[in-house]
Amino acid sequence: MQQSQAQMSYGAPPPQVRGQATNTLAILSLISGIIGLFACLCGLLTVPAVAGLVMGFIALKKVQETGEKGREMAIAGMVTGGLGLLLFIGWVIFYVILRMGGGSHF
Amino acid sequence: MKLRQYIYLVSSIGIVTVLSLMYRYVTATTESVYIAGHQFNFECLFKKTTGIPCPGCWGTRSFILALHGDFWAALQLNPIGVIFLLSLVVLVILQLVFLASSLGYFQRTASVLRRFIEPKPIAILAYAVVAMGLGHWLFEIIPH
Repeated sequence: MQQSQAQMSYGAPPPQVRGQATNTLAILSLISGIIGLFACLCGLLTVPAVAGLVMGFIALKKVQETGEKGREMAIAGMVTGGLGLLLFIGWVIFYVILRMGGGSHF
Repeated sequence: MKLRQYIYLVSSIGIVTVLSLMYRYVTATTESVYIAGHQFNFECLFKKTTGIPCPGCWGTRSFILALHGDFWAALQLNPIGVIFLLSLVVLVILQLVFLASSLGYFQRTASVLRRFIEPKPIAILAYAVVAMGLGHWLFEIIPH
């Protein structure tokens, strides 16, 4: 009763503006993922790839919750970051096998 | 000014300053990178351990060569360096146009640009860049 009176006195709540802006985390995820993919094998530069993957997950959740734009960018960030990480893991496995087999002189 | 406008302005000035300093002090040949005349030695761990270049190898040299206008040599080394430089230039232009439009200038140009800056086309462009970069890498490492 009191709630309905309050609503009448203050009017209906303003409509929420949805789907207007692009999620910033999705943009950062994409940039990070691409940098990570090309830098992951150069040394210990796997941080951007992992960051792209994690930020992509978070951005995707946020986009679904808030209705912002950026779903495609978040997915692309996850894909590129994940690919970078896979390349890095593949390289580490390859290196370990090479060392165990004694075929490397590095 | 709002926070977003400050970010656009500071980011644009930062990118232009860094690129100008790099143009002034960093040079490259197809063999090496030089910072203020001193050779910059960085060996890629992937190349060191496997003997084959990684997808990002020669990216720095490519970027510096493109910055100095030698686009053909840069593209031959690694197209990622050229793409990265062009992305930075496009980013600065977009930020300055959006900053100007929020201050009342170039509003028509900004509205035209906004129509193209949608998440889906940008994601497709990102996949294309990644495919091109990895394609170039595979072409380089597969003996032919």
